[in-house]
Amino acid sequence: MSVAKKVPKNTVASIILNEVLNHCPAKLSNRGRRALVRGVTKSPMHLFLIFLRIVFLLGFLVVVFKLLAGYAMFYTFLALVNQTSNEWYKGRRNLGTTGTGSCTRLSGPLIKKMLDSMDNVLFDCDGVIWRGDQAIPGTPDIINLLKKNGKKVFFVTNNNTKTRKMYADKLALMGFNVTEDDVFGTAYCSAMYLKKVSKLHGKVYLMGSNAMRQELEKVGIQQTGVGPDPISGVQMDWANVPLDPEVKAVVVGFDEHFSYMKLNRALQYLNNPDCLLVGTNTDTRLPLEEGKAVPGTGCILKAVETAAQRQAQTVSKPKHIMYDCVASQFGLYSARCLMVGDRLDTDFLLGSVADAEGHQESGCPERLGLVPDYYVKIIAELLPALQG
Amino acid sequence: MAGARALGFKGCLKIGGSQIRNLLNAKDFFLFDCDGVIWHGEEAITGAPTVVSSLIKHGKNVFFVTNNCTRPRKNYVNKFYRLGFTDVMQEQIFSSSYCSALYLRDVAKVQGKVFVIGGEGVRNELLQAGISFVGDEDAPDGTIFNCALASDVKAVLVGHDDKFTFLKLAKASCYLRDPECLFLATDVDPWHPLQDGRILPGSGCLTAALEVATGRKAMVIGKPSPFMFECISSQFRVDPAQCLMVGDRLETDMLFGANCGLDTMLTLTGISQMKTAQEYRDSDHSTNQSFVPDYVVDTIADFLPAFED
Repeated sequence: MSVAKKVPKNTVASIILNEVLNHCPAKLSNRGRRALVRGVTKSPMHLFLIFLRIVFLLGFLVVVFKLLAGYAMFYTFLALVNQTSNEWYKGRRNLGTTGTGSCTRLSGPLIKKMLDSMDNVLFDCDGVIWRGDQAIPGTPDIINLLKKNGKKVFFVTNNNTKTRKMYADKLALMGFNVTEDDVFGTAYCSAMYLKKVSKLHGKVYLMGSNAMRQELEKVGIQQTGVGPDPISGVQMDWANVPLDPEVKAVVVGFDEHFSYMKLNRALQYLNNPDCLLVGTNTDTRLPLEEGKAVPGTGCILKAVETAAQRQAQTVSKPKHIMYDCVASQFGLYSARCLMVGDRLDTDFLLGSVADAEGHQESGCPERLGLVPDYYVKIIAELLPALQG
Repeated sequence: MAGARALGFKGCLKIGGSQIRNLLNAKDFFLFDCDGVIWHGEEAITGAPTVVSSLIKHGKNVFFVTNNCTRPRKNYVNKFYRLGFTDVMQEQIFSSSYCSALYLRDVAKVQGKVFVIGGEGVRNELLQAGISFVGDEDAPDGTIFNCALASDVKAVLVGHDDKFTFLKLAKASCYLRDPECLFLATDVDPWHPLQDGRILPGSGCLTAALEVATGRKAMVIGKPSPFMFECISSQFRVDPAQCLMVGDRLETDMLFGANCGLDTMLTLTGISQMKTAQEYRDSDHSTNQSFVPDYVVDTIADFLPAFED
């Protein structure tokens, strides 16, 4: 019982110890008694610590579970509403201005509210303003009303087969009240890019149309190569074709005279790593009148890029160069610009790169990371808001 | 010495002397690229004719595998003879144009016409194989806005065409709108060098343009696709483990060898340099390992000492 003396009386430990000793059937050895005392004297503190550990562990597990559950529920929600997290956050950001999330069908008072928040509207042309040489019904009125309502309206197109003047004339024939300054085609923007951004001093080897030649000459850049531009002789002659030493860039647009020989000449120029390679756009098809189409500039550009084993600098949508071309001339504030187009992969990247809200005709797109903010079936739906 | 990589070589092993002799003893089938390996343009590489003759004399099987589709095989035989390779027969020559014709006749079994973007080399092989084709038989005033399309075109074959025009591109993309219409390319080489080192655009550029126009991928016949090896195997009993592919272009010849399970040798008389091969070998991307040759020689004339015994 000397062991028991080590335990103070009238404590929980002593009570437990007495109980155990009273009920213990076997005789305990001294060592056994010492172990028992150790266990009993530690018991309350030990239990309390264990209790604390359990509490914290459980608490930790609950917190982790809640985080995981929240994460899983959020992403399940996004999957059900078919958005990415980026789109959802963007939608939340717009909640203050529109009251809805992204890819919203525009209708009713929402149209007026949206239009009031915009100062400038940029329209893609093919499929939005016109199809071939026919204006889409209702669009001339919309454009004219937008202007009447104090909005600035611009026409942006990847097509490089016409000059700005030619586009303005085409639009005027269709009933639009526009001037040359309102139109931005890639022929013009390429010329401006070479002049203002690349600060090109020298000539250009042009694989493109007469329109491109005119736009280049208007900004004072001389070109060589427009038209068939054949080379005679045998392979050795082609590879050693005389090159104009003043040529500092190869510019590729839509060229119906595209041929192996022109491709070869471009390659010979591009063998010089300092020679720039600029493309107007990467569209795979060029729409013609009467609904026909032919391979687009993108095909010609790809051939040149493959031969020269390098990437061209493209001017068109979706790169921001075209938007910058418009914005820099008119001092546009991108947060108050609306881009209206019908091609997710070109028009909306323009919009999103410029941080402008985009809106699209015909249907809500699947995830391309390019979800427009609004959509309408046809832009004539905007008419009532403008007239009212 | 089958599967040198399996023995732990990382590749790019410069070999000479007795190592070459051992390699020559171990292999029975030698596949040579032509441009940059046995000749440059109209000049044979010094010692190359002797190497080829010696290999044949020693009972080795020698084949020539080239992406160059600008001439038919019988013209190639003339060129071989002209440059001093007197023992080479037409059956040993496998060009991408010949193999394209074989593909259309024996594999695709095409019933109907083939729209050809290519020169005499391709057309001649199609004629030899009995395949009917249409090409640039345009009305002189045909433009992209009003050209006529032939009926019954079941395949489009793109090869090297120095008379390529936008009109051909437009026509080909019209034919390829039919998903049943086959889309074949002789090869995808982006450029090829001439004797003096200058380069010209290759078939790869034209194929790329058509792929963008149609949104379809071409079936490639030439290297690095393994089809040319299948052609050889269908005519001769070839064991890949007994083969050595000798070429000068890492992205074409070495990749072809890797795709067919052959040992590969780079010769430095052509396009690719040792430095590039070493960069591929030391790169982190596992796909780059297929470009790495097993062996490297300065020129195939390095084989000559191995025969002196």
